[in-house]
Order: sequence, then C-alpha cells, then structure tokens
Amino acid sequence: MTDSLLAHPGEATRRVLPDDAHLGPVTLGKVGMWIFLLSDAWSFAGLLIAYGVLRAGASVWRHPGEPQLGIPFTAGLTFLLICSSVSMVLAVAAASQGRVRAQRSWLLLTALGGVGFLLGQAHEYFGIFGSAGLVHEGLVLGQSAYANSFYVITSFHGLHVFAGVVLLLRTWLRSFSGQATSNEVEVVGLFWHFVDLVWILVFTFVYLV
Amino acid sequence: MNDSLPSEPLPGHPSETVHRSAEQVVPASATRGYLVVFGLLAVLTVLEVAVVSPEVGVSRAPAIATLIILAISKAALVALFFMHLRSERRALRNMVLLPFLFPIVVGLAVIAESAWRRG
Repeated sequence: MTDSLLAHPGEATRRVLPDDAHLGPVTLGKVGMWIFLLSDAWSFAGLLIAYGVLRAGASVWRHPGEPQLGIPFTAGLTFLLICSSVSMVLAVAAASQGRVRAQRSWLLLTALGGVGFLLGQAHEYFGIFGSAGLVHEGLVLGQSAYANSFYVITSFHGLHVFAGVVLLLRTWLRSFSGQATSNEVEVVGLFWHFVDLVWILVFTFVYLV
Repeated sequence: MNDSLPSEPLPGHPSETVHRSAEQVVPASATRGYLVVFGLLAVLTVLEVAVVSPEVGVSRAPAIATLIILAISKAALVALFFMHLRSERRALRNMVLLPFLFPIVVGLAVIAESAWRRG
C-alpha cells in the first residue's frame, strides 16, 4: 500500500498527514494549496487596497476621453466563470466517486470555460472579435491611475486564469493514464475556485463600484 | 518511503490510520446543493448589476454598501460550498478565514484616510 502510494514522482504531495485532532485527514498537497492561496490572496488584497486608496484620493478618476468599462459584457464573463466553478466542483465530486469519464468531461469543460474567459478578456482589451477594444477607445496603460489599476488588476487575474487552464489541462491529460488522483483534482479545484472567488471581488470593486 | 515523513507509525496511530485515504467521497446528493449555490450566485450577480444600473437609480453610498455585502456573500458561498470549507475541520477553516480580518481592517483604514485627505 505504501509503495504504491509513492510509485510516481510527485506522489509525496498526496501523502496523507497523520490524522490530526484539529485538521482531520488532509493531504500535504491540500494544506500546501491553502497556504499558497492565502499568500496569493494577500497579493490581490494589496492590489485592491492600492486601487481603493488611489480612487478614494483622486479628485478626477475617469478623465475626459477615457471609456467607461462595459458592465454587461463583463457580467457575462463573470457568469461564465461561475459556470466553470460549478463544472469544477462536479469534476471533484466525480473524481472522489471514481467516475473517471465524468471527471474528464467536467475537467475539460472547466478548462474551456477558462479559455472562453481569456478570449473574452482579450476581446475587452483589444477587440479581437470585431468592435474596438478598450485600448482603442482611449484606455491606455501608463496614462492614468484609472487605466493602470484596471489593466494591472485584471491582467494579474487573467494570468491566474491562464495558470488555472494549464493546470486543468495537465490534470485532464494525466487522467487518461490514470495518474490524476482524486486528491490532485481536488487541489487543482481549490485553485480554480479561488480564481473565481477573486474575480467576484474584482468585478464588484473595479467594474461596478 | 523516500520522503521526509516519519515511516514509523506515530504513537497512538496504527499505520493503517496514518495511510488511509484523506479524500472524502462527495455524496451524489451534493450535486443538488451545488446547483442551489450556482443559482444563488447567478441571482446575486444580477442584483449587483441592477444596483448600479441607472434605471434602478440607487444613490452612490448605499449602492457601494450593497455591492460590498453582495460581493462578500458571493465570495463566502464559493469558499464554503465549492471549496468545501464548510465541511472542513474548524482549525483549517479558521486558518483560512480569520486572516481575512486584517486586509479588511487595513483596507478600510487606508482607503478612508485617502478619502479624508482629499477632503
């Protein structure tokens, strides 16, 4: 049993920590991901607080000639990310129940949701599907605190979506050779839900407020 | 056994306890709960967009207060249900949730100060 647990490189991360009165049965990978997510949350908190300070202290936030952010389109992207969180949680459930085919389908669907979000963000910035993007409408990086905070925060989040898509596709590929354990799916899921959670806050504070 | 964890069973922990699976099986009935949370997230998102729409016409300060409450509710739904924090042991839940008091307090303080300096 113990040998098979360590049959593959990297298996140490799914080693089960001794059952603990406080933490219960958890894997090293899961505790590690939670600690990483906390540190990552501080990065986003720092950016959002800096944005709040800049905005609260600015006499003019959106200068003449700078476009407003498109709320309906981004609300659609928000909905897409929420949908991908649901497919992720269904992948985790399927993985824990040993339903490998369902696990694969949900993982792929989740990754596609992430790709759709990234395409939507690229369209919002650059207008890749026709109409003019924000860069053409006068929201230029380096021009104002409004433009800078917008691009820095949303692209930092976009980078997280990209990383999440890479992780999801990696786990999806590994599931074909039986290497993707249900613990791996759960840990990748934690990261993906975090990306969704952060977007909820970014959407609210950067777009809606 | 080639990693740093102790290979000997810990006192009071038979080896089968040490190595048993940490992965709790998600019951099939959980799907319904996930879909309820999904519906709530969708409804709260629509409410958020409605609060700032000119047609509804909520004035700025109450709109911001409402948005903050709605956003924190949505974030909490994702963390508690999708990230399963609700069913984790208390120590893990506290380890994750309690530190968030600090950025909230610091954020409110420095943002309020910035607004106060502007006058």
